Formats: sequence, C-alpha cells, structure tokens
Amino acid sequence: MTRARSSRAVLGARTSRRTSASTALVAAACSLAAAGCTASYSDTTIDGVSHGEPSSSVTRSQIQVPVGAVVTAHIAPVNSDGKPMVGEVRSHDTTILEIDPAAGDKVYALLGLREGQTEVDLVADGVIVQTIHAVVTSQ
Amino acid sequence: MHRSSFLGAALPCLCLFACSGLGDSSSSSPGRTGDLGHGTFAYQCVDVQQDPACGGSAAPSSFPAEVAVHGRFKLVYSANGAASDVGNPNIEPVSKEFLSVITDQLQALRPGTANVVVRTTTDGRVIDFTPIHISPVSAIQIVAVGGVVAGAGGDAGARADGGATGGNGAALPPGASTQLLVQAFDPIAKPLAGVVGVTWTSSDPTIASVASASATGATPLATVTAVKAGLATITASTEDKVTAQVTITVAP
Repeated sequence: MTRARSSRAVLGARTSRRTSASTALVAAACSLAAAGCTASYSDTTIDGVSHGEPSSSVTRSQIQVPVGAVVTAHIAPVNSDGKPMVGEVRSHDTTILEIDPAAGDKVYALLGLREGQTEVDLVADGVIVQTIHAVVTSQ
Repeated sequence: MHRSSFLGAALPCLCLFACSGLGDSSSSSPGRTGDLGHGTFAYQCVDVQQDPACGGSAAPSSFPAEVAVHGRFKLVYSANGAASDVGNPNIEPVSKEFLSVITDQLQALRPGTANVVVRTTTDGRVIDFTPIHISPVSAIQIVAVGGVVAGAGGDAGARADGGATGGNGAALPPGASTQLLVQAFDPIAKPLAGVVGVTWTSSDPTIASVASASATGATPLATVTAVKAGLATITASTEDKVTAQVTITVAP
C-alpha cells in the first residue's frame, strides 16, 4: 500500500512536471504566435494636402513650405493590417517649421516661421518610423 | 458672398485682436472665409478716420486686397457652428517677419503674403487661417477729408507722388482748418489698406500749420490750420520716405 501510494505519488509528480512543461511550451508557442501575428508599422499615408500655396508640398520624401505660409495635410501611419496607428509629426526645429494639430483627425498644420531647413519625424505608436527633410523657402 | 454667415446674429462672434477699442472708431468688413472653412475673418480699421479702407466713416465694403507695409489694422474671427465649441481662440501671425502684434493690432512689416492662424486656447489646435497680402507703398496721395478745400494746385484725385492734390483752387481764410488724409498705393496704383505712419511738415508754419491727428505719433490724418495770408506747402512723408505735397493758399 505504502509502496503503491508512493509510486502513484511519484508518478503523479512526474505527470505534474510534464503537464507544467507542456503548458509552458504551449504558452510560449502561443506568445510567439501572438507576437508574430501582431501587425507592425507598414506605411504613412499623406493626403488632403492643402494647395493654397502653389510652391508648397508635403510628401514622404520632402516637405516644402514658404515662409509665412500654412499648409495642412492628413498624415496617418497605418500598420501591416492597414489599420491606423497612433501618429505624431514632430519638427526638429520649431523656430523654422512649426507643426501643430489642426481641426480634423490626424490633420496637421505646417507653419513656415522662418527660412531654413530642418527634419520632420513621423512617429507611429511612439516610434520614429521616418524622417523627412523639410525646407522653409523664401517667398 | 459670405456676408450672411458673417452677419448671422446666432453665430458666436469671437473677438480676437479687437476686443478692446471696438467703439465708434472701428467697424468690420464683410467676412472672408478662412482657408479651413471653420469661420470668417473680417478686416477692421484701427481708426475709421485714418484708414483709407474705411473711407473715413464706414467699414470697408470688402476685405481689403492688400495692406501697406507698416500699415496697422485689426482682424476679427467669427467661428461658424461647427467650430463654435473651441472656446476663445487666439489669432496670430505665422511668421513674425511679416506681421507683428502690437497690443490689439497687427502691423505689416514687409512685403509678401503673411498668413494668420486661429488657434484654440485649450489645446493650440489650428482651426483656421487666412493670407494677408502686404505690399510696399510706392506712392501716396493727399486727399481732403470730406471734400473740404485743401489748397491750390494739383488735380483733385490725382496721385500725389510728388505733385499736389486735393485742392480746387479755393483759399482758406485765416483761422480756418481742414483735414488731410494720406492714401497709399502699391506699385500698380492699387490702394492699400492700413494706418501708415506719416510725418507732416509745413514749408511755412506762420502761414499754415499742420499737425498729426494724434499726439501720440505720426498718422495719415492731419489738420491744417490757416494762419495768415500766403502760400505754404504741406508735405507728407511715410516711414519709407515716400512723399507727397499739397499747396495751401491762405486768403488775405
């Protein structure tokens, strides 16, 4: 009796250890799978650029704004599932180019404060995903 | 075209630069819709007597096309219904190279297109903006306010870039006075809005004296007072040294 109970106990212990290991493996696998399935940054869409200033442009390769001018644009990062991410647009030198939220979701106003060049960071979910060269030109 | 929306009594008029001094001396032009379409901007003369855009006593019939360099003016913004929840927005020039803020007024600093933006005070969001076109003063004209005789010589209504204007040949009796106003023009002779600084001098103050309308500084409005018989040349000079002259005849 005692031996048998002991054997069962040992067997139970082994079974428990196996179960824990399996559970851990499954959990890890699930975690890995979940991580693999999380959509990552894919792209930033820039559209709805106002064209009040003919010599201005806002693209993924360059931003150009005349001094004294305002250009608005809808700038939105999307993930690999095509879903919107939390975005932010930051100017490295706000004495040259100021970027402020404007009326509308993910609409930004780019203000040319003085002539010069700077860089603009596109941020998605808190991570800088792209840096764009920006020029504030003379009139 | 946006007059009806601007004048709508139900709309919240968000007084910006013009919260003080909105008395009898200023009135607004019909609104110009902001580029983002959330409201209308209206031009307001700092002083309806001194800003030619106001014609001496009335509001501009439209938003002036151009403002003179050094010209002072005010803007008011009226948010439409969609943007009426933004609180009391601020209006400010995009670049201080073109426009400066002096208490409740804007002053044009150099030629170009200077946008002004309207922001919410709560989170600084830009809700609207509009361009202000600034032009250099290429010529000025001296006109007699209210058609009062200003002096002899010159063609009434002619530009006074060196010549005399505004007179019809009649003379002022000693002791009489009249007012003269400077109208500024751009390089293609279009009239410019804004109160510009003007210095007034008389070639002979013992015949006709001249004084700016305001004791606080040079103004485009001046009062000429006839003293004794003779001729005197009144010269108006802007900050950029654009001048015009008018000859005053004082009758015996």
